[in-house]
Amino acid sequence: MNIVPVLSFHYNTYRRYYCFICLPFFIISGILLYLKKIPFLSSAAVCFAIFGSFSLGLYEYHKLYRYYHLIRPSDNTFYLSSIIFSTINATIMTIGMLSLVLIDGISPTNALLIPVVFLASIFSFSFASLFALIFKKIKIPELFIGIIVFVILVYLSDGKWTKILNAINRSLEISKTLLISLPLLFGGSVICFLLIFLKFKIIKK
Amino acid sequence: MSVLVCENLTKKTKNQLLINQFSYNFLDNHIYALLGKDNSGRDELLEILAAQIQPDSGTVWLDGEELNANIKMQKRLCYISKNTSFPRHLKIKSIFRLMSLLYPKWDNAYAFELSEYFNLKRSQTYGRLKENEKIILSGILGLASRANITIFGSSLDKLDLKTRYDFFNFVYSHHTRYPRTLIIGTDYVDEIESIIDKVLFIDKGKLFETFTVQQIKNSFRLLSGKTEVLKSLITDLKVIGAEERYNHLTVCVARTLRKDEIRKFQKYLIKISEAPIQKVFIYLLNLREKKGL
Repeated sequence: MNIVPVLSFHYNTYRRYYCFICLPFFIISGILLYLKKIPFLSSAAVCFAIFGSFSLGLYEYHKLYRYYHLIRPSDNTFYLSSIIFSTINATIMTIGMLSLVLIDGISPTNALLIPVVFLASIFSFSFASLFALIFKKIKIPELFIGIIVFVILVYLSDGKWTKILNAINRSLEISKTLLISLPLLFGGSVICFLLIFLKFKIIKK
Repeated sequence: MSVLVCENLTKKTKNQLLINQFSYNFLDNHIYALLGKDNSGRDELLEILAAQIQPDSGTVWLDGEELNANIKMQKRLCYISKNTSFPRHLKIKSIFRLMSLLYPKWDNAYAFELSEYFNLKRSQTYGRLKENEKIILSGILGLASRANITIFGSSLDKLDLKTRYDFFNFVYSHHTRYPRTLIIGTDYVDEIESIIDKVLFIDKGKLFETFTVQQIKNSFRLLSGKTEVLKSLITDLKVIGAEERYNHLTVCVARTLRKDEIRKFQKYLIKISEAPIQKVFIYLLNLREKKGL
Protein backbone atom coordinates (compact mmCIF):
# COMPACT_ATOMS: atom_id res chain seq x y z
CA MET A 1 0.00 0.00 0.00
CA ASN A 2 1.66 3.20 -1.17
CA ILE A 3 0.66 6.08 1.02
CA VAL A 4 3.07 8.65 -0.43
CA PRO A 5 0.72 10.01 -3.13
CA VAL A 6 -2.06 10.74 -0.63
CA LEU A 7 0.34 12.31 1.84
CA SER A 8 1.68 14.44 -0.99
CA PHE A 9 -1.89 15.39 -1.85
CA HIS A 10 -2.43 16.45 1.77
CA TYR A 11 0.83 18.35 1.82
CA ASN A 12 0.03 20.24 -1.38
CA THR A 13 -3.46 21.03 -0.20
CA TYR A 14 -2.75 22.25 3.30
CA ARG A 15 0.73 23.79 3.19
CA ARG A 16 -0.65 27.27 2.55
CA TYR A 17 -2.91 27.02 5.58
CA TYR A 18 0.09 26.39 7.83
CA CYS A 19 2.26 29.02 6.16
CA PHE A 20 -0.28 31.83 6.00
CA ILE A 21 -2.59 31.18 8.96
CA CYS A 22 -1.03 28.92 11.60
CA LEU A 23 2.50 30.25 11.59
CA PRO A 24 1.49 33.95 11.71
CA PHE A 25 -1.04 33.22 14.48
CA PHE A 26 1.51 31.57 16.76
CA ILE A 27 4.21 34.17 15.95
CA ILE A 28 1.87 37.08 16.71
CA SER A 29 0.54 35.36 19.84
CA GLY A 30 4.11 34.67 20.99
CA ILE A 31 5.16 38.27 20.44
CA LEU A 32 2.07 39.60 22.24
CA LEU A 33 2.63 37.21 25.12
CA TYR A 34 6.29 38.17 25.35
CA LEU A 35 5.66 41.91 25.24
CA LYS A 36 2.54 42.01 27.35
CA LYS A 37 0.87 39.32 29.39
CA ILE A 38 -2.55 38.97 27.84
CA PRO A 39 -4.87 36.91 30.06
CA PHE A 40 -6.90 35.02 27.44
CA LEU A 41 -4.11 34.28 25.00
CA SER A 42 -3.54 30.65 26.00
CA SER A 43 -7.27 29.85 25.85
CA ALA A 44 -7.46 31.67 22.49
CA ALA A 45 -4.58 29.49 21.26
CA VAL A 46 -6.37 26.34 22.43
CA CYS A 47 -9.57 27.53 20.69
CA PHE A 48 -7.58 28.26 17.53
CA ALA A 49 -6.02 24.79 17.56
CA ILE A 50 -9.41 23.13 18.05
CA PHE A 51 -11.32 25.30 15.59
CA GLY A 52 -8.53 25.04 12.98
CA SER A 53 -8.46 21.26 13.28
CA PHE A 54 -12.24 21.17 13.09
CA SER A 55 -12.21 23.18 9.84
CA LEU A 56 -9.53 20.93 8.35
CA GLY A 57 -11.50 17.85 9.35
CA LEU A 58 -14.58 19.22 7.62
CA TYR A 59 -12.63 20.03 4.47
CA GLU A 60 -10.89 16.66 4.57
CA TYR A 61 -13.98 14.53 4.10
CA HIS A 62 -16.25 17.09 2.52
CA LYS A 63 -13.97 18.07 -0.36
CA LEU A 64 -10.55 16.48 -0.37
CA TYR A 65 -11.83 12.94 -0.09
CA ARG A 66 -14.04 13.44 -3.14
CA TYR A 67 -11.22 14.96 -5.18
CA TYR A 68 -8.96 12.05 -4.34
CA HIS A 69 -11.64 9.42 -4.78
CA LEU A 70 -12.20 10.61 -8.35
CA ILE A 71 -8.62 9.96 -9.37
CA ARG A 72 -7.84 6.95 -7.19
CA PRO A 73 -10.98 5.17 -6.04
CA SER A 74 -11.55 2.38 -3.55
CA ASP A 75 -8.37 2.15 -1.65
CA ASN A 76 -7.92 2.77 2.04
CA THR A 77 -4.84 4.91 1.67
CA PHE A 78 -6.85 8.10 2.01
CA TYR A 79 -8.24 6.96 5.34
CA LEU A 80 -4.80 6.02 6.65
CA SER A 81 -3.25 9.18 5.31
CA SER A 82 -6.02 11.17 6.96
CA ILE A 83 -5.15 9.68 10.36
CA ILE A 84 -1.46 10.39 9.79
CA PHE A 85 -2.26 13.92 8.69
CA SER A 86 -4.45 14.58 11.74
CA THR A 87 -1.51 13.52 13.93
CA ILE A 88 0.85 15.79 11.99
CA ASN A 89 -1.62 18.65 12.33
CA ALA A 90 -1.95 18.01 16.06
CA THR A 91 1.84 17.94 16.39
CA ILE A 92 2.16 21.29 14.61
CA MET A 93 -0.52 22.79 16.87
CA THR A 94 1.23 21.35 19.93
CA ILE A 95 4.56 22.81 18.84
CA GLY A 96 2.83 26.18 18.45
CA MET A 97 1.29 25.80 21.90
CA LEU A 98 4.64 24.69 23.32
CA SER A 99 6.27 27.87 22.08
CA LEU A 100 3.56 29.91 23.83
CA VAL A 101 4.00 27.87 27.02
CA LEU A 102 7.75 28.44 26.92
CA ILE A 103 7.23 32.19 26.58
CA ASP A 104 4.55 32.22 29.29
CA GLY A 105 6.64 30.14 31.68
CA ILE A 106 6.29 26.45 32.47
CA SER A 107 3.81 25.67 35.23
CA PRO A 108 2.07 22.30 35.90
CA THR A 109 -1.14 23.57 34.26
CA ASN A 110 0.75 24.94 31.29
CA ALA A 111 2.61 21.65 30.85
CA LEU A 112 -0.70 19.77 30.86
CA LEU A 113 -2.02 22.04 28.11
CA ILE A 114 0.37 20.44 25.62
CA PRO A 115 -1.11 16.90 25.57
CA VAL A 116 -4.59 18.44 25.81
CA VAL A 117 -4.02 20.52 22.69
CA PHE A 118 -2.56 17.49 20.92
CA LEU A 119 -5.50 15.23 21.71
CA ALA A 120 -8.12 17.96 21.32
CA SER A 121 -6.79 18.71 17.81
CA ILE A 122 -7.03 15.05 16.84
CA PHE A 123 -10.49 14.75 18.36
CA SER A 124 -11.91 17.86 16.70
CA PHE A 125 -10.38 16.78 13.37
CA SER A 126 -11.86 13.28 13.60
CA PHE A 127 -15.21 14.54 14.85
CA ALA A 128 -15.45 17.08 12.01
CA SER A 129 -14.45 14.40 9.48
CA LEU A 130 -17.20 12.13 10.74
CA PHE A 131 -19.65 15.03 10.69
CA ALA A 132 -18.70 15.85 7.07
CA LEU A 133 -19.11 12.22 6.03
CA ILE A 134 -22.51 11.86 7.66
CA PHE A 135 -23.95 15.24 6.65
CA LYS A 136 -22.60 15.32 3.12
CA LYS A 137 -25.24 17.71 1.88
CA ILE A 138 -24.43 20.54 4.27
CA LYS A 139 -22.06 22.88 2.48
CA ILE A 140 -18.98 24.17 4.27
CA PRO A 141 -19.62 27.90 3.56
CA GLU A 142 -23.12 27.60 5.05
CA LEU A 143 -21.69 25.93 8.12
CA PHE A 144 -19.04 28.59 8.59
CA ILE A 145 -21.52 31.40 8.07
CA GLY A 146 -23.64 29.73 10.76
CA ILE A 147 -20.70 29.56 13.16
CA ILE A 148 -19.77 33.22 12.49
CA VAL A 149 -23.37 34.34 13.04
CA PHE A 150 -23.42 32.34 16.27
CA VAL A 151 -20.20 33.95 17.47
CA ILE A 152 -21.53 37.44 16.63
CA LEU A 153 -24.75 36.73 18.49
CA VAL A 154 -22.82 35.54 21.52
CA TYR A 155 -20.66 38.65 21.32
CA LEU A 156 -23.65 40.95 21.04
CA SER A 157 -25.43 39.32 23.93
CA ASP A 158 -24.10 41.61 26.64
CA GLY A 159 -20.53 40.49 27.21
CA LYS A 160 -21.28 36.78 27.37
CA TRP A 161 -18.41 36.13 24.99
CA THR A 162 -15.96 37.31 27.65
CA LYS A 163 -17.73 35.07 30.15
CA ILE A 164 -17.28 32.08 27.85
CA LEU A 165 -13.59 32.85 27.37
CA ASN A 166 -13.31 33.28 31.14
CA ALA A 167 -14.96 29.92 31.67
CA ILE A 168 -12.56 28.27 29.18
CA ASN A 169 -9.67 30.00 30.84
CA ARG A 170 -10.79 28.85 34.29
CA SER A 171 -11.22 25.27 33.12
CA LEU A 172 -7.77 25.34 31.54
CA GLU A 173 -6.33 26.47 34.84
CA ILE A 174 -7.71 23.45 36.68
CA SER A 175 -5.24 20.61 36.27
CA LYS A 176 -7.86 18.05 37.32
CA THR A 177 -10.20 19.01 34.47
CA LEU A 178 -7.32 18.76 32.04
CA LEU A 179 -6.33 15.34 33.36
CA ILE A 180 -9.88 14.02 33.03
CA SER A 181 -10.19 15.35 29.51
CA LEU A 182 -7.14 13.43 28.24
CA PRO A 183 -8.65 9.88 28.17
CA LEU A 184 -11.99 11.30 27.03
CA LEU A 185 -10.39 13.02 24.05
CA PHE A 186 -8.34 9.96 23.20
CA GLY A 187 -11.33 7.63 23.43
CA GLY A 188 -13.49 10.04 21.45
CA SER A 189 -10.91 10.24 18.67
CA VAL A 190 -10.60 6.47 18.43
CA ILE A 191 -14.40 6.07 18.25
CA CYS A 192 -14.69 8.80 15.60
CA PHE A 193 -11.98 7.23 13.43
CA LEU A 194 -13.60 3.81 13.76
CA LEU A 195 -16.96 5.25 12.74
CA ILE A 196 -15.31 7.02 9.78
CA PHE A 197 -13.85 3.68 8.71
CA LEU A 198 -17.28 2.04 8.86
CA LYS A 199 -18.92 4.90 6.97
CA PHE A 200 -16.08 4.77 4.46
CA LYS A 201 -16.85 1.09 3.79
CA ILE A 202 -20.55 1.83 3.36
CA ILE A 203 -19.87 4.67 0.91
CA LYS A 204 -17.61 2.43 -1.19
CA LYS A 205 -20.50 0.03 -1.68
CA MET B 1 -1.17 -6.52 -21.71
CA SER B 2 -4.47 -5.26 -20.30
CA VAL B 3 -7.76 -6.95 -20.89
CA LEU B 4 -10.79 -5.73 -19.04
CA VAL B 5 -13.49 -8.35 -18.75
CA CYS B 6 -16.97 -7.42 -17.57
CA GLU B 7 -19.11 -10.30 -16.41
CA ASN B 8 -22.85 -9.82 -15.90
CA LEU B 9 -22.58 -6.41 -14.32
CA THR B 10 -25.77 -5.19 -12.70
CA LYS B 11 -26.33 -1.99 -10.79
CA LYS B 12 -29.60 -0.63 -9.50
CA THR B 13 -30.89 2.18 -7.37
CA LYS B 14 -34.10 2.04 -5.34
CA ASN B 15 -36.39 2.54 -8.35
CA GLN B 16 -34.21 2.11 -11.40
CA LEU B 17 -32.11 -0.55 -13.04
CA LEU B 18 -28.99 1.37 -14.09
CA ILE B 19 -26.97 -1.47 -15.59
CA ASN B 20 -28.56 -4.68 -16.70
CA GLN B 21 -26.38 -7.79 -17.10
CA PHE B 22 -23.58 -6.03 -18.94
CA SER B 23 -20.94 -8.42 -20.25
CA TYR B 24 -18.14 -7.42 -22.57
CA ASN B 25 -14.40 -7.91 -23.07
CA PHE B 26 -12.36 -4.76 -23.66
CA LEU B 27 -9.29 -6.00 -25.49
CA ASP B 28 -5.73 -4.75 -25.27
CA ASN B 29 -4.72 -1.63 -27.20
CA HIS B 30 -8.13 -1.04 -28.73
CA ILE B 31 -10.07 2.20 -28.69
CA TYR B 32 -13.74 1.90 -27.77
CA ALA B 33 -16.50 4.46 -27.97
CA LEU B 34 -19.54 4.15 -25.74
CA LEU B 35 -22.76 5.70 -26.92
CA GLY B 36 -25.84 6.14 -24.81
CA LYS B 37 -28.53 8.58 -23.82
CA ASP B 38 -28.28 10.64 -20.65
CA ASN B 39 -29.90 8.04 -18.42
CA SER B 40 -28.67 5.01 -20.27
CA GLY B 41 -26.36 3.95 -17.43
CA ARG B 42 -23.27 4.80 -19.44
CA ASP B 43 -21.71 6.99 -16.75
CA GLU B 44 -22.42 4.38 -14.08
CA LEU B 45 -20.87 1.71 -16.28
CA LEU B 46 -17.72 3.79 -16.72
CA GLU B 47 -17.61 4.33 -12.95
CA ILE B 48 -17.80 0.58 -12.40
CA LEU B 49 -15.07 -0.04 -14.97
CA ALA B 50 -12.93 2.48 -13.11
CA ALA B 51 -13.73 0.85 -9.73
CA GLN B 52 -15.30 4.05 -8.46
CA ILE B 53 -18.50 2.26 -7.59
CA GLN B 54 -19.15 -1.40 -7.07
CA PRO B 55 -21.73 -3.35 -9.04
CA ASP B 56 -24.57 -5.02 -7.17
CA SER B 57 -23.69 -8.21 -8.94
CA GLY B 58 -21.15 -9.28 -11.51
CA THR B 59 -17.41 -8.82 -11.65
CA VAL B 60 -14.84 -6.74 -13.50
CA TRP B 61 -11.59 -8.60 -14.19
CA LEU B 62 -8.41 -6.85 -15.19
CA ASP B 63 -5.90 -9.33 -16.58
CA GLY B 64 -7.50 -12.15 -14.68
CA GLU B 65 -7.61 -10.37 -11.33
CA GLU B 66 -10.70 -8.93 -9.76
CA LEU B 67 -10.51 -5.16 -10.15
CA ASN B 68 -12.36 -4.08 -7.02
CA ALA B 69 -10.45 -6.39 -4.73
CA ASN B 70 -7.05 -5.50 -6.07
CA ILE B 71 -5.81 -2.01 -5.37
CA LYS B 72 -2.56 -2.55 -7.27
CA MET B 73 -4.50 -3.07 -10.48
CA GLN B 74 -6.00 0.38 -10.15
CA LYS B 75 -2.64 1.98 -10.90
CA ARG B 76 -3.11 0.68 -14.40
CA LEU B 77 -6.41 2.41 -14.81
CA CYS B 78 -7.15 6.10 -15.19
CA TYR B 79 -10.68 7.48 -15.32
CA ILE B 80 -11.32 11.06 -16.32
CA SER B 81 -14.94 11.77 -15.49
CA LYS B 82 -17.05 14.89 -15.74
CA ASN B 83 -16.59 15.28 -11.98
CA THR B 84 -12.80 15.07 -11.96
CA SER B 85 -11.58 18.15 -10.12
CA PHE B 86 -8.90 19.35 -7.73
CA PRO B 87 -8.61 21.80 -4.84
CA ARG B 88 -8.90 25.36 -6.17
CA HIS B 89 -5.53 26.53 -4.93
CA LEU B 90 -3.49 23.67 -6.43
CA LYS B 91 -1.24 24.76 -9.27
CA ILE B 92 -1.17 22.83 -12.51
CA LYS B 93 2.41 21.75 -11.85
CA SER B 94 1.39 20.45 -8.41
CA ILE B 95 -1.42 18.46 -10.02
CA PHE B 96 1.09 16.98 -12.47
CA ARG B 97 3.40 16.12 -9.56
CA LEU B 98 0.54 14.39 -7.78
CA MET B 99 -0.38 12.42 -10.89
CA SER B 100 3.25 11.37 -11.31
CA LEU B 101 3.06 9.77 -7.88
CA LEU B 102 -0.19 8.00 -8.70
CA TYR B 103 0.70 6.67 -12.14
CA PRO B 104 4.00 4.86 -12.59
CA LYS B 105 4.16 5.56 -16.34
CA TRP B 106 3.24 9.26 -16.00
CA ASP B 107 4.71 11.31 -18.86
CA ASN B 108 5.54 14.68 -17.36
CA ALA B 109 7.19 16.14 -20.45
CA TYR B 110 4.14 15.26 -22.52
CA ALA B 111 1.81 16.78 -19.93
CA PHE B 112 3.72 20.07 -20.08
CA GLU B 113 3.88 19.91 -23.87
CA LEU B 114 0.12 19.54 -24.09
CA SER B 115 -0.59 22.19 -21.48
CA GLU B 116 1.60 24.59 -23.43
CA TYR B 117 -0.26 23.73 -26.64
CA PHE B 118 -3.61 24.42 -24.98
CA ASN B 119 -2.30 27.61 -23.32
CA LEU B 120 -2.43 26.38 -19.74
CA LYS B 121 0.24 28.02 -17.61
CA ARG B 122 1.94 25.62 -15.24
CA SER B 123 1.86 28.12 -12.37
CA GLN B 124 -1.86 28.77 -12.81
CA THR B 125 -4.09 27.54 -10.00
CA TYR B 126 -6.90 25.12 -10.73
CA GLY B 127 -9.53 27.51 -9.39
CA ARG B 128 -8.57 30.17 -11.91
CA LEU B 129 -9.02 27.94 -14.92
CA LYS B 130 -12.10 28.43 -17.05
CA GLU B 131 -14.54 25.54 -17.36
CA ASN B 132 -13.21 24.37 -20.76
CA GLU B 133 -9.62 24.68 -19.50
CA LYS B 134 -10.47 22.43 -16.59
CA ILE B 135 -11.86 19.86 -19.00
CA ILE B 136 -8.84 20.00 -21.27
CA LEU B 137 -6.58 19.69 -18.22
CA SER B 138 -8.47 16.53 -17.24
CA GLY B 139 -7.98 15.23 -20.76
CA ILE B 140 -4.24 15.96 -20.56
CA LEU B 141 -4.06 14.07 -17.27
CA GLY B 142 -5.74 11.08 -18.86
CA LEU B 143 -3.33 11.02 -21.79
CA ALA B 144 -0.16 11.71 -19.82
CA SER B 145 -1.05 9.08 -17.22
CA ARG B 146 -0.27 6.45 -19.85
CA ALA B 147 -2.36 4.08 -17.79
CA ASN B 148 -2.92 0.73 -19.50
CA ILE B 149 -6.62 1.45 -19.54
CA THR B 150 -7.67 5.05 -19.84
CA ILE B 151 -11.34 5.93 -19.62
CA PHE B 152 -12.67 9.30 -20.73
CA GLY B 153 -16.16 10.20 -19.59
CA SER B 154 -18.42 12.41 -21.61
CA SER B 155 -16.85 15.61 -20.21
CA LEU B 156 -14.78 16.06 -23.38
CA ASP B 157 -18.03 16.66 -25.28
CA LYS B 158 -18.25 20.05 -23.59
CA LEU B 159 -15.09 21.28 -25.30
CA ASP B 160 -15.44 23.48 -28.34
CA LEU B 161 -15.15 21.84 -31.75
CA LYS B 162 -11.59 22.97 -32.53
CA THR B 163 -10.16 22.05 -29.12
CA ARG B 164 -11.89 18.69 -29.30
CA TYR B 165 -10.45 18.08 -32.74
CA ASP B 166 -6.94 19.00 -31.57
CA PHE B 167 -7.26 16.91 -28.45
CA PHE B 168 -8.33 13.79 -30.33
CA ASN B 169 -5.45 14.33 -32.75
CA PHE B 170 -3.19 14.08 -29.73
CA VAL B 171 -5.09 11.01 -28.56
CA TYR B 172 -4.41 9.36 -31.91
CA SER B 173 -0.71 10.23 -32.06
CA HIS B 174 -0.12 9.28 -28.42
CA HIS B 175 -1.97 6.01 -28.87
CA THR B 176 0.16 5.20 -31.89
CA ARG B 177 3.30 5.82 -29.86
CA TYR B 178 2.09 4.13 -26.67
CA PRO B 179 -0.68 1.69 -27.58
CA ARG B 180 -3.15 1.03 -24.78
CA THR B 181 -6.85 0.54 -24.24
CA LEU B 182 -8.95 3.67 -24.41
CA ILE B 183 -12.64 3.77 -23.57
CA ILE B 184 -14.34 6.99 -24.57
CA GLY B 185 -17.88 7.92 -23.58
CA THR B 186 -18.97 10.41 -26.19
CA ASP B 187 -21.94 11.67 -28.14
CA TYR B 188 -19.81 12.99 -31.00
CA VAL B 189 -18.57 9.62 -32.17
CA ASP B 190 -18.51 10.63 -35.85
CA GLU B 191 -15.72 13.09 -35.08
CA ILE B 192 -13.49 10.32 -33.81
CA GLU B 193 -14.52 7.45 -36.06
CA SER B 194 -11.08 7.44 -37.66
CA ILE B 195 -9.38 6.56 -34.38
CA ILE B 196 -11.84 4.15 -32.77
CA ASP B 197 -11.99 0.42 -33.30
CA LYS B 198 -15.32 -0.49 -31.79
CA VAL B 199 -18.55 1.22 -30.90
CA LEU B 200 -20.81 0.05 -28.08
CA PHE B 201 -24.45 1.10 -28.02
CA ILE B 202 -26.04 1.20 -24.58
CA ASP B 203 -29.65 1.77 -23.67
CA LYS B 204 -31.38 1.34 -20.32
CA GLY B 205 -28.23 -0.15 -18.91
CA LYS B 206 -28.10 -2.84 -21.55
CA LEU B 207 -25.52 -3.31 -24.25
CA PHE B 208 -27.76 -3.67 -27.27
CA GLU B 209 -25.31 -3.52 -30.18
CA THR B 210 -21.58 -3.56 -30.81
CA PHE B 211 -19.97 -2.80 -34.13
CA THR B 212 -16.55 -2.13 -35.49
CA VAL B 213 -16.44 1.12 -37.43
CA GLN B 214 -15.89 -0.90 -40.58
CA GLN B 215 -18.99 -2.99 -39.90
CA ILE B 216 -21.10 0.16 -39.66
CA LYS B 217 -19.62 1.47 -42.88
CA ASN B 218 -20.31 -1.81 -44.65
CA SER B 219 -23.70 -2.69 -43.21
CA PHE B 220 -25.56 0.61 -43.20
CA ARG B 221 -26.27 2.93 -46.08
CA LEU B 222 -28.04 6.25 -46.32
CA LEU B 223 -30.24 6.77 -49.37
CA SER B 224 -31.61 10.19 -50.14
CA GLY B 225 -33.72 11.61 -52.91
CA LYS B 226 -37.19 12.86 -53.78
CA THR B 227 -39.74 11.39 -51.39
CA GLU B 228 -42.13 9.82 -53.94
CA VAL B 229 -39.28 8.33 -56.00
CA LEU B 230 -37.37 6.90 -53.05
CA LYS B 231 -40.48 5.51 -51.36
CA SER B 232 -41.29 3.45 -54.44
CA LEU B 233 -37.75 2.06 -54.61
CA ILE B 234 -37.27 0.87 -51.04
CA THR B 235 -40.26 -1.41 -50.63
CA ASP B 236 -38.12 -4.54 -50.40
CA LEU B 237 -35.37 -3.03 -48.24
CA LYS B 238 -35.08 -3.16 -44.45
CA VAL B 239 -35.25 0.49 -43.44
CA ILE B 240 -34.16 1.27 -39.88
CA GLY B 241 -34.79 5.01 -39.97
CA ALA B 242 -36.15 7.76 -42.17
CA GLU B 243 -36.16 11.55 -42.21
CA GLU B 244 -38.26 13.68 -44.48
CA ARG B 245 -37.38 17.32 -45.00
CA TYR B 246 -39.20 19.45 -47.61
CA ASN B 247 -40.18 16.60 -49.96
CA HIS B 248 -36.70 15.15 -49.68
CA LEU B 249 -36.45 11.76 -48.03
CA THR B 250 -33.41 10.18 -46.39
CA VAL B 251 -33.57 6.58 -45.27
CA CYS B 252 -31.06 4.33 -43.60
CA VAL B 253 -30.97 0.73 -44.76
CA ALA B 254 -29.38 -2.02 -42.77
CA ARG B 255 -27.58 -4.06 -45.37
CA THR B 256 -24.95 -3.93 -48.07
CA LEU B 257 -26.41 -2.96 -51.40
CA ARG B 258 -25.89 -5.21 -54.38
CA LYS B 259 -24.43 -3.83 -57.62
CA ASP B 260 -27.76 -4.01 -59.46
CA GLU B 261 -29.46 -2.16 -56.60
CA ILE B 262 -26.82 0.55 -56.66
CA ARG B 263 -27.30 0.93 -60.40
CA LYS B 264 -31.06 1.17 -59.95
CA PHE B 265 -30.74 3.92 -57.31
CA GLN B 266 -28.24 5.85 -59.40
CA LYS B 267 -30.61 5.68 -62.35
CA TYR B 268 -33.28 7.44 -60.32
CA LEU B 269 -30.79 10.01 -58.95
CA ILE B 270 -30.84 8.61 -55.44
CA LYS B 271 -27.75 9.58 -53.49
CA ILE B 272 -26.03 6.70 -51.67
CA SER B 273 -23.69 7.47 -48.81
CA GLU B 274 -22.17 5.91 -45.71
CA ALA B 275 -24.35 6.14 -42.63
CA PRO B 276 -22.85 8.21 -39.82
CA ILE B 277 -22.49 6.23 -36.57
CA GLN B 278 -24.55 8.76 -34.61
CA LYS B 279 -27.48 8.36 -37.02
CA VAL B 280 -27.27 4.57 -36.89
CA PHE B 281 -27.35 4.79 -33.10
CA ILE B 282 -30.38 7.09 -33.09
CA TYR B 283 -32.28 4.93 -35.60
CA LEU B 284 -31.56 1.73 -33.71
CA LEU B 285 -32.62 3.43 -30.50
CA ASN B 286 -35.88 4.57 -32.14
CA LEU B 287 -36.51 1.00 -33.28
CA ARG B 288 -36.03 -0.24 -29.73
CA GLU B 289 -38.46 2.38 -28.45
CA LYS B 290 -41.02 1.37 -31.07
CA LYS B 291 -40.66 -2.26 -30.06
CA GLY B 292 -41.11 -1.21 -26.44
CA LEU B 293 -37.72 -2.51 -25.38
